[in-house]
Amino acid sequence: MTRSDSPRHDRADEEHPPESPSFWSFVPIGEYQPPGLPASSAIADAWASFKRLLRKVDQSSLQPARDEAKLRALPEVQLEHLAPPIDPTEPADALDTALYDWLDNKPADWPIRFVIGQPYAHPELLPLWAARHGAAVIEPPSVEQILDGDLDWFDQWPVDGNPGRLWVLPRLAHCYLRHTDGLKLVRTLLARAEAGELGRGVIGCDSWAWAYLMHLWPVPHPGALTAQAFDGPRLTRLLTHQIKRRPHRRVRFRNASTGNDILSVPSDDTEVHPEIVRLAAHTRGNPGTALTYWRRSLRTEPHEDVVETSDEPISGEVFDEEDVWVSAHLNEPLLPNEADEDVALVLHALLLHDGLPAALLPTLLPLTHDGCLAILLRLQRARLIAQRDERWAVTATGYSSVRSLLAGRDYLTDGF
Amino acid sequence: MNENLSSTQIFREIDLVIMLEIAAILAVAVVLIMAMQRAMNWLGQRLYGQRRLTLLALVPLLRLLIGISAVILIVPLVIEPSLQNMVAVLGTVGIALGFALKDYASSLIAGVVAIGEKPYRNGDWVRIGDHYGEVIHVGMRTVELITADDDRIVIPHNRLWNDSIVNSNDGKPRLQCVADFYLHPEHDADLVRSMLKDVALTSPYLHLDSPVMVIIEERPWGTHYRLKAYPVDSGQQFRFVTDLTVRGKELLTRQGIRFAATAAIPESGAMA
Repeated sequence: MTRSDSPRHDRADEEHPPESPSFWSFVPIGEYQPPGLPASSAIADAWASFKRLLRKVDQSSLQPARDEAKLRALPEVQLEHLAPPIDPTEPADALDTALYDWLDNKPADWPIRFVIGQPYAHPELLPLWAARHGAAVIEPPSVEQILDGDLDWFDQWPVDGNPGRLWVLPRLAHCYLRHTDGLKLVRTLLARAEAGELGRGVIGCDSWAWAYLMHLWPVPHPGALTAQAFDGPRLTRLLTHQIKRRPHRRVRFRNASTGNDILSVPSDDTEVHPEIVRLAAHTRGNPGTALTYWRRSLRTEPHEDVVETSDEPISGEVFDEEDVWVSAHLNEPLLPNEADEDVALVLHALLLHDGLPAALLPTLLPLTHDGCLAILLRLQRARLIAQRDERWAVTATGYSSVRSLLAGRDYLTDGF
Repeated sequence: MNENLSSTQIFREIDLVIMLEIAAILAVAVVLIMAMQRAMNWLGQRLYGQRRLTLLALVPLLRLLIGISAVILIVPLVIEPSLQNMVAVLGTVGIALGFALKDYASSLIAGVVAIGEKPYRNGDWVRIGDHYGEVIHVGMRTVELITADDDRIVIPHNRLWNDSIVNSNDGKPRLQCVADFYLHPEHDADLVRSMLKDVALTSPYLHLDSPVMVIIEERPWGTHYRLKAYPVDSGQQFRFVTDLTVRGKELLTRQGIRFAATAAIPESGAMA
C-alpha cells in the first residue's frame, strides 16, 4: 500500500489537519510536562518513601487490605469491556495532526522525524501509522549485524527502487548495543538519515534509549515529538473513553475502602478525582503504565453478577448501574532498598535497550552468565521484569519503582 | 587562707546530687552521640549520591554540638558562673593541656577546624600521606579511612597543620577516574582516542552527564593515554577503572594496536 492508496488519509483531499481525540497530542519533547501531585499527596508519598528506607519491604504490606480481600480481580472479558488496552489508532490520529505540515514537505530541511515514547506508552503506534501511510517498515538489525557493524542492513531502505517513499523505523532502541562494537551501525544510521541520504522517514525510539543515544550523537533535535503527559484530566478522559459503553448502563468505579465514586461513565461531572490525579503523577504521565495500574486495581464482588439496578431517572432515562471496585492499593512490585549494584546495572541495561535477551547481558555488563541469570530470575519473581518477545524487559507495574531506584542512584534516566 | 577562699569562690561545693547530675548529663551526651552516629551511618548506607554525602557530613557537626551542649550544662554545676571564674579555670586547663597533652589537644583542635573547613567529610575519598581511602568516620581526634584493600587507617587530625590533604570528590558524588594505556608509538592516535572514548561511553558504570576525556602524551618509550571519566558513584571507582582497562585492552588488541613493551627504566636515567 502506498500513501495514495490510503482512502482515510488521502492528503490531496484534505485541507486541514485531521482531528484527533483531545486527550492525545504530540508535542516537542522539550514541552513535555509531567503531572504534579497535590501537596498533600506529595507529602504522603515522601513519607511512604521514607518509611521504606527505614524497613525492609514487608511482603504482608503488599497484600490487599482486609476489607478488600473479599473482592476478586475482574475477569479478562470484563476487563476488555471496562479498560481495554490503548487502541493505537487514537495516538496515530494525533501523530497525523502533529506531522501534518511535515508530511506536506514543510519544513523541507527535516528529512526525518523522531517519535519518542516512554515504555508502554504507545507500543503499536508506529507500525499502524506506517500501514496507514503506506510507509516501508524497517526491521531492526540482528545482534550479529549490530556487533559486526554490517552496513548491508541499509539495503532495506526504499532509496533505490522508490526514493520518495516514506519509511518508518519503529524501534531505534533495538538498533544498537552498549558495547564498543555496538555503536557503529546506529551512528551511521543517524548520520545518513539526518543528512537525508535515506529519504524521508520517521524513527521511533524508547525514551531511555533516546537519553543514551543523545550522548553518542549530541545533535539538537527540537523537532522530536512525544505524546504529551496524561495529567489528571487527560487520564480521566482516556479512562472514560476506553470503556465500551452499553446503552442505559452506567459504570461506577468506586474506591474499595471508602466507597466513594472515583469515576462514573457516563456522567456530567467534570471534576477530576484526586485518585486519578495521583495515578497520573505516580506514572509520570505515561498512559500505558497508568492503564496497566488501573486494570490491575479493578475488583468485583465474588459470586455475584455485579449489575445493580437503579430506578432513579437520570436525564429522563432509566439507567442500570454497575459497580466496579477500585483497590485502594497500587499493589506494585517494590524493589528492596538494599538492591545491590549488580541489580541496578541489569535493570539499567534492560531499560536502555528496551529489553535484552538474557544471553547478551554478560556481553554488555561485567557480570558472569550465571550471575545475570540469577538476577533475572530474582527480578522476575519480584514481578519487576518479564520476558517479552524473547527479551527481558521491565514490567509496566515495576517500571515506576525501577525508575525511582535508578534515579536515586544517579544513573542516566529518560527525560520524562 | 586566701587561696582557700578564692578556690571556694571559683568552684561550687560538689555534693552527691551535682555528681549525679553531671553523670547523667555525660551519660545522655554519650548515648545521644552513639545513637546519632549509628542512626546516621545506617541511614547513609541506604542513600546514594549527594544525599548520602550530605547526611554523613553532618555527623561530626552534630557530635560537636552535643559535646558543647554537655559542657555548657556541666560547667555551671562545677564553677560559679562568672567571667572571672571562667577565664581562670579555662586558662588553667588550657595551660595544663598545652604542656601535658600537646599532641592530643592539637588533634582535638584540628578536629574542630576540620568540621569548619571541611578538608574531608564522611564519604569523601582522600589521600593523606601515602594512604588513599574513603572517609568512614571523622572523630574528635582522628579521621578513619577504609582503603581499597579493606584496611582501616586511623590518622590524627593534627596532620592538617603540616600535610596536604588530597580530596578526590570534595563532598560531591562525582569523582574523576583515570585508566592508563601505554601503547607502542606507531599507531593512529585519532583512532585510538575515539576507541577509548567509546570504551568509556559503553561502560555501565559511567556517569553519562559528566565529561569523558582522553589525554595523550608522547614519552620516550611510546604513547601514554589517560582515559578520564566519572563513575555513577564514587564507591564504584575501582570497578570502573578495572572495567575501562579490561575492555580497553580487549578492543585495542582486537584492532591490532601494540602495547609499549619497554622495560621499566627511570626516565631521568634513561639516556645515561
